[in-house]
Amino acid sequence: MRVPLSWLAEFVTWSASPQALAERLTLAGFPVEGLEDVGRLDARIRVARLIAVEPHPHAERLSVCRLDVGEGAPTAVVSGAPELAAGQRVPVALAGARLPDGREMRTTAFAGVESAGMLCSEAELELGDDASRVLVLPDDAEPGTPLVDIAGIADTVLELEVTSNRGDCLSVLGIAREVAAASGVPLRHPRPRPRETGAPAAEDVRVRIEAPDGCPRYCARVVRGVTVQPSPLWLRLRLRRAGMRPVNVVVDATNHVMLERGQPLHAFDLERLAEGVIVVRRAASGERLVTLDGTERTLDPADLVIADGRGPVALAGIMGGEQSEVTAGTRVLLLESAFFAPAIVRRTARRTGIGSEAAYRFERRVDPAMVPEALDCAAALIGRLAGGRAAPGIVEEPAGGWTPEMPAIRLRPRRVAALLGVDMPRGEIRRRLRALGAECRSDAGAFVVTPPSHRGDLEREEDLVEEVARLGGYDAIPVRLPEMPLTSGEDSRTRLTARRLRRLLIAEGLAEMVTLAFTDAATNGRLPGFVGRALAPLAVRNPLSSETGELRRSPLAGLVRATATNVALGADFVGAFEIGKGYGVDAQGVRQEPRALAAVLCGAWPSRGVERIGPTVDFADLKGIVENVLAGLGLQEDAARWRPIGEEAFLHPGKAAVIEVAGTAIGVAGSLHPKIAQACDLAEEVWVCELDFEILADYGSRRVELRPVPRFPAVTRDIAVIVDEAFPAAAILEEIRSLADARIEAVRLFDCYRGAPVPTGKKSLAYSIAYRAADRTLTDDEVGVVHAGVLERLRERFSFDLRA
Amino acid sequence: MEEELARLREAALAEIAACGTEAELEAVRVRYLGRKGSLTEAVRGLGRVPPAERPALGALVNQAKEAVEAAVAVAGERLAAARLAESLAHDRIDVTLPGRRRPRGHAHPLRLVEDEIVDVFVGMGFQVAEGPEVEDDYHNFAALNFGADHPARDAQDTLFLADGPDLLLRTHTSPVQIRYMRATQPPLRVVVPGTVYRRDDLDPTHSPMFQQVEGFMVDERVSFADLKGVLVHFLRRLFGAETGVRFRPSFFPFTEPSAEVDIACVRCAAAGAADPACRVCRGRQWLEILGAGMIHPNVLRAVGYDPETVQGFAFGLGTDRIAILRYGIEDLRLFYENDLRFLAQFPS
Repeated sequence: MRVPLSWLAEFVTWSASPQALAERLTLAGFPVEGLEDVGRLDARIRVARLIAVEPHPHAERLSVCRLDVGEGAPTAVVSGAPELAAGQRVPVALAGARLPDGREMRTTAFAGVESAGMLCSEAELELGDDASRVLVLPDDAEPGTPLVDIAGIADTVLELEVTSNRGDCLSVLGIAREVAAASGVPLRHPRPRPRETGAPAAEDVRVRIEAPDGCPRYCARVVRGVTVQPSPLWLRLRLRRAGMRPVNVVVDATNHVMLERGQPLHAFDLERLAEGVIVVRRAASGERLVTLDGTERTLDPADLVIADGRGPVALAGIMGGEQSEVTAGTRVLLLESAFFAPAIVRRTARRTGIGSEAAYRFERRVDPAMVPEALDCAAALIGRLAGGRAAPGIVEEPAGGWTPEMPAIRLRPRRVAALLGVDMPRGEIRRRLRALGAECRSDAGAFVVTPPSHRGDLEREEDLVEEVARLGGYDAIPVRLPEMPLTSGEDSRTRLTARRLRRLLIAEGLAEMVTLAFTDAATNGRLPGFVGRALAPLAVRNPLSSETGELRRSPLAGLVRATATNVALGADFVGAFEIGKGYGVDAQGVRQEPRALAAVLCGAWPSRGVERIGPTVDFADLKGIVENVLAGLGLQEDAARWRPIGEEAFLHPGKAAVIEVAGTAIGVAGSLHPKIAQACDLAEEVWVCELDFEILADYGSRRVELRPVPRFPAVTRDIAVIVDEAFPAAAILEEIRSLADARIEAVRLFDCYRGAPVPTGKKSLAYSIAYRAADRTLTDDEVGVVHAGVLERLRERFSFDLRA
Repeated sequence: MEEELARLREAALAEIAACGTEAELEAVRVRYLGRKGSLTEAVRGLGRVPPAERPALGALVNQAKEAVEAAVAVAGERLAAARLAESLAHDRIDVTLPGRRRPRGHAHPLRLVEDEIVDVFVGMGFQVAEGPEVEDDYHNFAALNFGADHPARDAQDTLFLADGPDLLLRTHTSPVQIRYMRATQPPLRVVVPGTVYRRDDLDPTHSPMFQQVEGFMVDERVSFADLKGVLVHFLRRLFGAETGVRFRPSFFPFTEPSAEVDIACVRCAAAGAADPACRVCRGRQWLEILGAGMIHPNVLRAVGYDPETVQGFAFGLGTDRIAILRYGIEDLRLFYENDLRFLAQFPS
């Protein structure tokens, strides 16, 4: 909302700088976004009276103008502007003047004739859009007066935000009321009335309301004998500065009243309304109306329309129709002022996509008491500016008008104290409510408050408490820490786990990512991930693009995409993780948002010292990270089993594993399926994993069980086997562990070798076994016996070449 | 025998003196004092000496042996010292060569800031709660006192799901207020971090997905003054003990009275003066940082509380906005595009 201060000053007088006024309004709930100085013209731009206009002796299209600029001898100026006539008052920028766009005027010769300045258009002075002709000033402008000194030229515009509950403040008057209440000064509220002549309006117009729910009050006035012409400068300036474009004097006058008093008006060409009838009704299905913007609109039965004897002539409260539009030839006006139901206007405005100033105000509720007053203001203004004669009387339906019953609200002073946390004297409460224009009477220790008709937002006690607090300023309420029993705060288990996982993964050198929860249907179909593998995708009904068409089933959707972005940006290494959700619907039709830990590795490790680049990442890197994370959560080193995955939709069938703990799958890890990598423009191998967050959270919350630190030495023995390439290395580890001999402390694979002398298609695996007893030093003999048992077991189970 | 002993001793001492390296010295030691060394043999030879001569001869043998041992020790120290001096004089490494590093990980700035925010409230005794991101109209709007035709319910602003007429992506964390209060009786202090959604394209100032932290406190007497106390404490913990904080009237459907909370511009405050061209506050000197208010009686009723007996406050803030101010970020997209060159600038 834009308010020129010169306009505001007609309604209220404040004793403060514009900045201080802005601060006061901001703290009253109307944040001021800007203070704009406008019309601050150079003092050498003056009012000139055209004494004579003569053709230029050498240039056909130029005139030589002799001007009275209040300096005795006439000043000569050359101009190319049309429509110049002796006697006109026009602005001249004299030599030395600086125009708003920064140009500085000089005395210049045009085809041999010296020009002491330039006659200016409103566009050159930034007072309007018209650049085609010289701005003609009012006849009473005194030659020689700097233009900046003419009332209404120089101004300051307040740009402020009005919250959606305060429709009453979408006007100069509304803001003036707030300034008056906040500053404790009186409000001036003049109510101009038109002079009425001729036959009563009721003879020309009949109004019928068929939809009283949508239009509880409708008033009309008839103005005869208007001359539709451009508005005078002051009116055009006001409208422009308040953010509207001037059209013609009739439309501008109605807009002026709306901007000033908050009540939107509409002017019809009465002679173009069939039968002089106004009907307010719901549209019939399929009815059509061409609105003022030239668009033909098919109406909906929910729409409220104004109709004449033939059909719809306006979308009530939103936009008029082209057919009854005021034009240059219009002579008789029907001025409409009404209260249209906010919800109905909002629905139609939303449906049609028309965001007019009128609709904006009706949607936020206008003041029913303002309906006839605005009509009088407009008729008076049109009478003054367009020669219109108001017909006697306002045609009103329902007869006698309608004012809604404003609720009487009980306000208990103790409730004020309880909600605000500060005691406030009764007198002060009453004073503040009255400053708002509310009626306030005492009743059994409480107040009974009736809000003024423009404050439809005041419905209950709490609303009044806010008003009382607002008028004193929120800064006046003390800052106090609550008194409550001392209890400990607690982060959630989910977040504590996430924080722990984050630390572990960061320690592994990965960067945390937060990616959008959206993906496209194709990616979502290809990339089910782990926690979302059994979920049906959830589609967005009104996405902004197909890229946000579905909610991802796996955080990997975002991570893989971010990987592709980073690779495209030149990253040699991408190591990242996200702790996020998958979304979908399970087999029972229930929506689920399972959490997952997902990670991605791609490229080559950054150089770790003096080397061009580190080794290319591979499965072992990914597995090592997962193992470290599991160990970091307190899981036993050998608790997780990595099983070849076989067929899996989104992973390479031969390069991926299911991770199991105690027989339960907790996640998957491996190489992203080449088809998906390709679809994401990833040429390199991408290693990914996804683990079930809830299961990890369970491990994380377990108690630590300590084992004693060994006091006796361990003895290690090595074994080596030659096996087929396909033989899983973990089989031997598991076999040895399955002996469950307490003296076998640890088994570790320390070498995996292919090449001569190992035959092609085979590999050599070397394991080291540590033997130790908790209570004594093992003898060589005892170790020998246990070790022999291990060898025997392995020979029994496997048919390979075992070298102890 | 005696002569032989003297000759051995002299020879050994001479050889020891001539040793230039510790290896040579060790060879000499083994030759004389080793298991088969000459002096060791001499000790063994005592057995063949007549018993009467043994004490005298034994003493001589021991003297010789001790003398040689002492000489070895002295020479050993001399040679070790020489070797150390040699090493100190010549061994050099290039300490300017790069260290051998593992890659360093990084936390996402939104998570760092979220943890920081949550920690302040946990420190004040708040419990952390979370809720679903796929919500329904009731929890996201109706129970929070949004009117049936409130503009926020419009498909312009809210992302709806195809699965049901009622399903949407929550537009704020406030539905968790409803879920939590329905399940719990006052007194309560709760803080709710979470992801929320709006129907916006990703651009420098908008995102279809962003982060919020919601907080609320309900008891018999929690007042607006308490709200101010808690939020001023929080903002000063986050932005510094001297940070200016102001409360302005505002409007939200789910609070009454409602407030918008501003902090003094962090950039202007750091510079010590208001900058009319400041790119953070655009010359306004204040930054909108959160919305708050006393929980609306209709909301309390919706969760089954009696507004005549309990009351409380609620607030909501944008984690992204705080992160933007915290790190001087000018483009919201940086948070969700995950360019590693951006992420790598944050601590581990």
